[in-house]
Amino acid sequence: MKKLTIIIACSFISYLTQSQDNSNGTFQGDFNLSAQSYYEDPAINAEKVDEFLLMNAYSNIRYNKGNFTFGVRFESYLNVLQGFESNFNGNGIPYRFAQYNVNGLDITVGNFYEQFGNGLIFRSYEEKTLGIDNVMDGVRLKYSPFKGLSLKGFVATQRLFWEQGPGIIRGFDTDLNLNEAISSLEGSKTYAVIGGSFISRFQDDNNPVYNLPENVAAYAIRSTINRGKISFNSEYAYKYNDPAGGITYNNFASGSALMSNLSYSQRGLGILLEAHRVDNMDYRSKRGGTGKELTLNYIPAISKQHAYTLAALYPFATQPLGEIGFQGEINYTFKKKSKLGGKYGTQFGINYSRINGLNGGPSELTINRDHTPMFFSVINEELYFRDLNFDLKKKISKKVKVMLNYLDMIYNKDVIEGKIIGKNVHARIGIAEVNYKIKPKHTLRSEFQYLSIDKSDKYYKDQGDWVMGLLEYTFSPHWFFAFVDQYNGGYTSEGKTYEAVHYLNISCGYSKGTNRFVLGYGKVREGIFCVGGVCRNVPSSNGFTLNITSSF
Amino acid sequence: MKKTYYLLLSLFILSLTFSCDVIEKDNFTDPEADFPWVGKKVLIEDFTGYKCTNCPQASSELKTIEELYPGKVIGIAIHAGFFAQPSGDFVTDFRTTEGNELADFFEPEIFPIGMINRQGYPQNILLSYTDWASIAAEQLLQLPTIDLSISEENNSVIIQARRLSESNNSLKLVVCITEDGIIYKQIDGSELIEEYEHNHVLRKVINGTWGSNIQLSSTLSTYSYDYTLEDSWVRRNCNIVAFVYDNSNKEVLQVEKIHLTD
Repeated sequence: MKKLTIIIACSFISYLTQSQDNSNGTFQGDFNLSAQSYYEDPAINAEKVDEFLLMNAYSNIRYNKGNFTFGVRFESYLNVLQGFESNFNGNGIPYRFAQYNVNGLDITVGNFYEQFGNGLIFRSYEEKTLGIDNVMDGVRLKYSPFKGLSLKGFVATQRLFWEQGPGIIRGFDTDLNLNEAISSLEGSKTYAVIGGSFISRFQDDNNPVYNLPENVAAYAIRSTINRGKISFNSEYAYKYNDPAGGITYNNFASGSALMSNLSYSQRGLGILLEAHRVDNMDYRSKRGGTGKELTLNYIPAISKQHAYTLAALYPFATQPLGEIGFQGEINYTFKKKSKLGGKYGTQFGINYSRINGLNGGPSELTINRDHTPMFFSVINEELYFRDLNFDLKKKISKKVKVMLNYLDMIYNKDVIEGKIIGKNVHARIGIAEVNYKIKPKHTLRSEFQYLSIDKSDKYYKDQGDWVMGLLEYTFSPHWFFAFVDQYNGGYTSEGKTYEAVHYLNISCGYSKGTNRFVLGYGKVREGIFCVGGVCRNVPSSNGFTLNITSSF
Repeated sequence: MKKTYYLLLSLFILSLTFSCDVIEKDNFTDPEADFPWVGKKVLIEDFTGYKCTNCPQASSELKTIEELYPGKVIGIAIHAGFFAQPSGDFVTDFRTTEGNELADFFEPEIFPIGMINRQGYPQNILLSYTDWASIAAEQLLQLPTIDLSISEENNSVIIQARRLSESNNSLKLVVCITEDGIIYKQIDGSELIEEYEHNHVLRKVINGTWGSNIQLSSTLSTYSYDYTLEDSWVRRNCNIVAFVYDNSNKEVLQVEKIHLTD
């Protein structure tokens, strides 16, 4: 089957290129390779692998001519890097599509990614760094019958590694831009878009005891309203009964999600207020799916996504089964030549987020229990995550730029990582980054980060304190060299004592045109890596890394 | 007018996709489900570990399936992988050489996960516990192709087997010991249960992880294996489980169990 796909793809591309003028149509492509060797290192629990070297690679090739687009992606996992699921092992073309647009009707056959609204009931996406690719395979239509109204619909199955999940997914989405659709609102200062979407999954019921719903549906309604500097975005989603299967326990409760954000922005000032409540909203294209497989929906993260290494040591993973969260953020720029702005201005930001469990847990409807959590309850509820952080960016001179960060976070390891510690982790993190432009094209960047664990009895000490230093020298436009050391002073866990460890890493990168090569060597600490509230475990490792990216 | 027409058309298309089955509480289960069993039994192998938070749910599901189909479903709990690794207060090691080899071969990554008659090899062999009952029910409705029986005497197991249908597939016979009623720690959700009852625990495969090659015909063949129980195992809680599988696709064709007595 894979061979057949390759042959068809090659023949098709060949036909296209031969059948038309060479000046017509464009090819685009990109390539990415990540390889790593693994050595045994008992000090950090790193294991060697039998293959010595593991590799994840892929390449996208896309052809476009006028209203027609054709694309394929080849993926190769020989064998897959540690921390990703071994079901990826192998080569193949899991992504191929043809898309054509005629008189406003957009037709896609084959694979496609799609998102309805904020993704509360449907988001098909890929995130290679997380090992997520839940691409759809089927038919999708988009149509705009008149200005302001857009319709989307599809029928498809979903990718599961090299196969397809068992569910058949039907979806429909509509967006109505009121300012464009209603002539009397044209030119209005208030800009409004409303939308609605619907998803239904079909999967056979072979359960010998329970009557399981074969068609499980979800719907969502949303609105975006902008007026001047203020923007308001809100979406409500509802999922009908979606029991996981099995014969011991089945939860027939419906699910719901509500998210809203209000933002204000003007030159030099940005304010964001955000809240969401999620109850029993794990929706997949397979009944009872686990892990990251076959997810149909996506709950946007409501905490700040930190990029600095130690700030990202305790990231929050969104809990689709149930959480209630709030976030507020203010970014302010002190003007140039003001008292606090100095010669070049100063940027200051403060962010606070707090996420709790739902009152009494998520909704449950079983033979023995009928529970619906209170819609709003935050006092005395279980804390999942809390983050208060400040950041300051300041250009000191033409050559020196400084960034300072301070974070104070509480992390519920039991909920987020599935442990049974019974105590939260409380960490305080200080970060300083200095960029120094030595001379044109030569830049030195340094980071110093310190993570201090609250060692009082109220909190779990986890792996104790961390210190990190980074020195990076960039010689534009081709070279960079970096040296990083993360130091952990040692700790005791489950009766075992871990000695102090330096996680040293050196790396060197070379870029020319659209090609980029990065070679590194060092130790990687065990941890959690998250993008947008979705996370994967990263095992500790010791070895060489090679990353190559290219595009044309 | 045209816009209203398109809006109505969109709503019509939406109604076509609107497929949803809502099950009322009185109708959650179907006690009248028909079940014409013709003799094939089912082996459920559960990859588990005492530090795995969701594994008790799978163990409980296995027990419920056994109770639903008394004598027709046989479970083996294979303690393997990270969650079965002793550390801290978890001192006793329930892992076995054979269990580790099975885990290395079938590569369970997310726990709990299991195999139903080892069908679906290689891509779809590992199944979430919520799928076990449905797949087991499908397997139970199939015609048996092997007739299998076990007897035990003086620490010796006697297996008798024959083919019930014509086939040239290469067969293997596996004979193993499991133990029920082991009281030891287990993490269950956010709790540590000090005195959790571990059942179906794989203690040993008597004739090696992948078993012995056997040649079967339509007449009964007999195989015999001696075994010894370790001092820490409680004999009256132990079982002998034997199964025959097709070596080409690893699928278990028939399984039997007997309970040892003092």
